[in-house]
Amino acid sequence: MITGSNFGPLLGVDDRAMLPMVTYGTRPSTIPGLGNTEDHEYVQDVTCTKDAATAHTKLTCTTGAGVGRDHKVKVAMPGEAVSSMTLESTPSSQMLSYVPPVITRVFGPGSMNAATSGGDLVEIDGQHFGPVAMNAIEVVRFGLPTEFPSGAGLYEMD
Amino acid sequence: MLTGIQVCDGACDPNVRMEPAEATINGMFTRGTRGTHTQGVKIQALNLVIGDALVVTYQQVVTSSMSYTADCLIKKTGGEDDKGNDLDYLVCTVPPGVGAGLRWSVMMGGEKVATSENLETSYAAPMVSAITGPNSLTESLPMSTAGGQTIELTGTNLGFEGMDLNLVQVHYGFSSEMDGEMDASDFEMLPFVGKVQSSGVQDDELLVTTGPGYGQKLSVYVRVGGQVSAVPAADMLEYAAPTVQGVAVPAGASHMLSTLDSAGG
Repeated sequence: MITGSNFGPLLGVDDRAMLPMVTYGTRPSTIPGLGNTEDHEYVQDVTCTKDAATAHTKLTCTTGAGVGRDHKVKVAMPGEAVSSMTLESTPSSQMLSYVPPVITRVFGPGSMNAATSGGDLVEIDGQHFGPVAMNAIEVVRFGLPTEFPSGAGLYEMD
Repeated sequence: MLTGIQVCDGACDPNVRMEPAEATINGMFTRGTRGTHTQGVKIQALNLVIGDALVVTYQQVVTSSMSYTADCLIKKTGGEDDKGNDLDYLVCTVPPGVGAGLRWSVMMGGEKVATSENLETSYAAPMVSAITGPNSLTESLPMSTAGGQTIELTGTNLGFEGMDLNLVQVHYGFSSEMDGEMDASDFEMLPFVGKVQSSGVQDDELLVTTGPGYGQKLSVYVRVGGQVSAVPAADMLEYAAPTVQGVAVPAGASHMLSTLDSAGG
């Protein structure tokens, strides 16, 4: 739910061109060696609705598939469908995050007694790995539990 | 029978004979909605009788909401038409008004003696020249998309004090979608509507409460007495950009977290 002001009137329930466009930005990666330092482009796979009573101040939206954390939200008034000119909010100070990935199982030939030369297949089951089209997996690392806090001594999988 | 109508700039001179061409043209009150401006009408009629109670009215055919009474005197010219009828004039002063296609009637002694079947006059069409107020581009304050703020339109022929507010409308829309002169059907398609304030109508000024809307570079048009301003004012309206004050994920949402309680990923 997004609250604010000047989201415009509810002119047509079935006319999506009249609804504000909500986007949110992906957060730069914080993983050492993989970090993007610039704010990413804002994704637009968000559908929103509003009702007449709170049309100017509240949007109820359904997020699109994605990953990452600290997404800043922007609201833009329509839109090329109505006019070539748009009015857009500044990014929100409050942010959204997708839940982090969860690993529930590691298996496959490489999960136990893997060859030290590498090349063995390891399969990972879990949740929240992101949409396939986004190819959002930045890195998969493994190592001793004691090595994870610092990251030193961890291996990366391809 | 009314055989000609001549609209005069100022009071009509009854001694100036109407030319034949003037008997068939549609008259236009060029400054008609302005109450302080003297605008005369000379009506050519046949067989009028001086001394009878005279009431001269004119109104739109399609609606009686635009109906006016002119202050007229009979001027006997002493001339005759080619059939031997007395050729007379009514010299009238018109009140402030609005509308086009106004047809005339003459009542004498309580009886309608003459009408103009094909002769019509019109008040001048409105024109908006400037917009001021909290929301125009010439001012810095933003205009809420919820509306409810006052803007002031200045121009000409915008109406008159005390007129029926149903006869004056203010619509506005995206300037990028305007192409050519505005007409009545296009006016109806403009997406945003302002409300003219009671006691906010004068010939050169309208006080308008903005309606709900959004966007920028919005051109403003008015319709007064059914006549639409053909071109918009150079000043345009702009609603404020949206602002986001809060983003929240409902409790129990399974795939997103509010940052405040998120470990992120």
